[in-house]
Amino acid sequence: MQKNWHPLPEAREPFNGVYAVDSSSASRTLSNGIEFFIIRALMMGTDNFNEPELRFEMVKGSTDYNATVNFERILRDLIEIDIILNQLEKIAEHSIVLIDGNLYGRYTHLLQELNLKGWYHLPLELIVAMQRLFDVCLTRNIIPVGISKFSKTRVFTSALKGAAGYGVTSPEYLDVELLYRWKMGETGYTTPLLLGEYALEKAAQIRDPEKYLKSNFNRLEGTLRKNWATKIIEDFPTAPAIVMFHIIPKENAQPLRVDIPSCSLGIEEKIMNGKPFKFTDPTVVEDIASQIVTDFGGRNVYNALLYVVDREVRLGVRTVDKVYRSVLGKELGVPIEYDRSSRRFHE
Amino acid sequence: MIQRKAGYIVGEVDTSRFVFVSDTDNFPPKHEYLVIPDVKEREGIGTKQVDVLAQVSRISNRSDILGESLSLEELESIINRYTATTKVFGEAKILGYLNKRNEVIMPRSAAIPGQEVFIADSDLLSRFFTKDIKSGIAIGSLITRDEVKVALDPNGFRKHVAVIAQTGAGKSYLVGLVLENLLPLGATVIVLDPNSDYVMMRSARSGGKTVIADDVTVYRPPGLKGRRFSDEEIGGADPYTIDFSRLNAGQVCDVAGISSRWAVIREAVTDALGQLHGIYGPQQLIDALERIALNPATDSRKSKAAVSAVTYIRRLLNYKIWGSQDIPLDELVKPKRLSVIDLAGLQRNVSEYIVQKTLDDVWSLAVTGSLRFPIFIVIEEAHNFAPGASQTYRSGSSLNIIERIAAEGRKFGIFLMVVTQRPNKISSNVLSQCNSQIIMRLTNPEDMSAVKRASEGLSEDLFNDLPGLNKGEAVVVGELTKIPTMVKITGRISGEGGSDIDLEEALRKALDAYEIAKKTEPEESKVKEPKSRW
Repeated sequence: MQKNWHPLPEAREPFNGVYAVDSSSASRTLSNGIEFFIIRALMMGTDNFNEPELRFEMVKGSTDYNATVNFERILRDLIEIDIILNQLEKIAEHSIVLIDGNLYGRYTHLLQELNLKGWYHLPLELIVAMQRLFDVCLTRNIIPVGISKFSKTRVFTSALKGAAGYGVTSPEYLDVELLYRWKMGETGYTTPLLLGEYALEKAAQIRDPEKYLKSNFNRLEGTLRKNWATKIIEDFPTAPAIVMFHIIPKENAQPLRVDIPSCSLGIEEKIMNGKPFKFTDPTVVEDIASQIVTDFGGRNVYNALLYVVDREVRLGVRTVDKVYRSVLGKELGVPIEYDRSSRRFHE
Repeated sequence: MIQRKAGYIVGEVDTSRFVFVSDTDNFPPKHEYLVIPDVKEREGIGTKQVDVLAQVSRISNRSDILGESLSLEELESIINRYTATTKVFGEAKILGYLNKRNEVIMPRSAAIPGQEVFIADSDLLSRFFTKDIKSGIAIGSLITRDEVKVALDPNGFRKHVAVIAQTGAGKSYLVGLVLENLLPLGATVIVLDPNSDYVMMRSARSGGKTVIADDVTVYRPPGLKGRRFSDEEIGGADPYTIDFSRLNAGQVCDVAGISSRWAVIREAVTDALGQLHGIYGPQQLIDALERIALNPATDSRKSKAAVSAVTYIRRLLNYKIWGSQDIPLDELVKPKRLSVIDLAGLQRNVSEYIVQKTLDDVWSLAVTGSLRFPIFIVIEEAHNFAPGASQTYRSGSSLNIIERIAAEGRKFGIFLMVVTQRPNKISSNVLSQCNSQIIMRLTNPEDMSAVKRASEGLSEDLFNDLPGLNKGEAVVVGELTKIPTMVKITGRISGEGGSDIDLEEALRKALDAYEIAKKTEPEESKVKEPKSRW
């Protein structure tokens, strides 16, 4: 443990710009069973940079609750990536863009079709967007950084056990628990880990894209779309691995989990290199760790910019039901009536 | 005219108030006047469009990010990274709109959310706040708008006026300003002035005489020492004294401080006065009381009472007020005449007697139809002359006549201007009769409650604004203006007796005097020899 724990670098601002992205969403069921979704994203940062993005979607009513929940979640992930892609030209090179949440999770849980008619392909859209983000960021020397204020992974624990020669299938502690037990009252960060295919349940199948599509995206329609999907699955193994580390930016603060695409740190490792995870040089994340220390505020403000953007982007009930509802009704030319249960609730 | 936009109406709007959203560049300050143009107002079965005036009652800035729950460290981390955007909200109360006859009408329809609101222009405000600009009594301008002059409607004085404010808020300045504008209209004014606040009204602040100087008379008892302003400084004073022999027994006892509960002593005074004829003074009364006390035929109870009465009456010998120069009533009631009766330096019961006597005399004239012109009576420190029921000192000598004039004086052309800093301590019978009020800064909760009880025209908003008024700012309610108006009082020409002293300057002089005295003190006297024990 001690070998993989490093003192914090000094608080510095090594980047030309620091930006943060977050999103918020709300859904309502209409009286005809249709569900509409409002997804809002905001990107804020250096020099009072402040750019919003908004997306409305309507889907036919579904009995699969998880499908609509996943739909909303993927749309939020997607709008966050889209807003960065749309704004990248406006921000300085050698900047970082903080994204609320971990990157690896959203990246690896997409290889299954969404059980929602007309939107089966949506997870693949997000994979494409993320790939594009990583590519464009690389060319512009901009680093996307996912920061999670809490994470239930056992990756670091597993890696430590693996390094010590133990089996890693069922580590005893979550990473946060390990740090809580052994690093309480200290500051520092863990040796970064390269996360590969450890969370990809069907990694072996991905190497045969057509077969993979048939078993996991079998409701895709049309040759064009199928070809598009096949290409995405084919390209997936070349996606960068994710570099992950935990950081305790201040004494007694909760550890933060930080995810960075390996390519942004000059590491060639790909996500499907066959190894679940391996340690990498801690100095490659020093600048990022330093910036995180700089922007740490306290218990409530684990990152100043992410805190601000989170507050600014939140969709309030009033905004949804008074403002967006009437805008939508105006655009569609019909009054938006909620289903009876919603009406009771809102009135 | 280009209107300056203040923001947009949002949320629920009713006919009395609305909320608007503004921004940090265009927000109107508290008390600023807004106009909502073209509000649809029902008229019969149709509608008409009216410009509704409103006043900002609250303005607030809010940041959703910089919340109270954050620690200093957390706040600093955010502020270092982010320029907080401030959301500016305001709340405004609706004051009404003007109909074709320039009367203020409260709307019966509410404005629509999303409507723009503008800063009201000066012309509209002038029409709103001044009934008749030509003969109005100019007292200053709207608090937020220097260019909009406010003039009081002289007819508003028909309902008695109370001027209420805590010390130092500018009451005397305001009353002086009203008087110097009321006088040229032909008014007869008597000022009962316990603190020499109005004795300088003949002198212009800028030097020289005021235009009203020839119409102002200051009456003072002669020979009183230690006055704030000498007779020369105030441009001369007419003497007045009290003819002791014209006082009845009750008045003598009141002036001497013999309580109405001490019936036997008062009886002794009555008996002694019965022995006196012609012109006499306190000494003659003492002699008479002593004769009663020493008379062997007098029973011992009465004898003791006479001795006690002497103790009280003897005090009157020190009062420099007795003489035969009564204040000439005919002069007081002349048209276009301002008579200041300077009560400063007089004992309280004497002042009270003078107030009572003056008012009694005027009242007698009025009820017999001999008062030819309306008369305005200013009672300064009115809580001392018309104390409320809760006050321990409540002799009643001036209280009764003040309450009577407050209740019935208007019918006979006597109009009060009651000036007080302690509305909680003034008779509620007097205060409640003052239907027009000019209220300045007030912070004492008890006094505020008294004002609230007495004033129908004072809304909750205005009431809550009283502690926030600055020196020289006032709220005018009642019939003096069309609607309750917040005024910055300016424009007084005459000098002030009641202005605060420059304490810094006074202390500097005191220090100079001390230094001079120290230097001139003989050297040897600084070393004090111990007193010999032998």
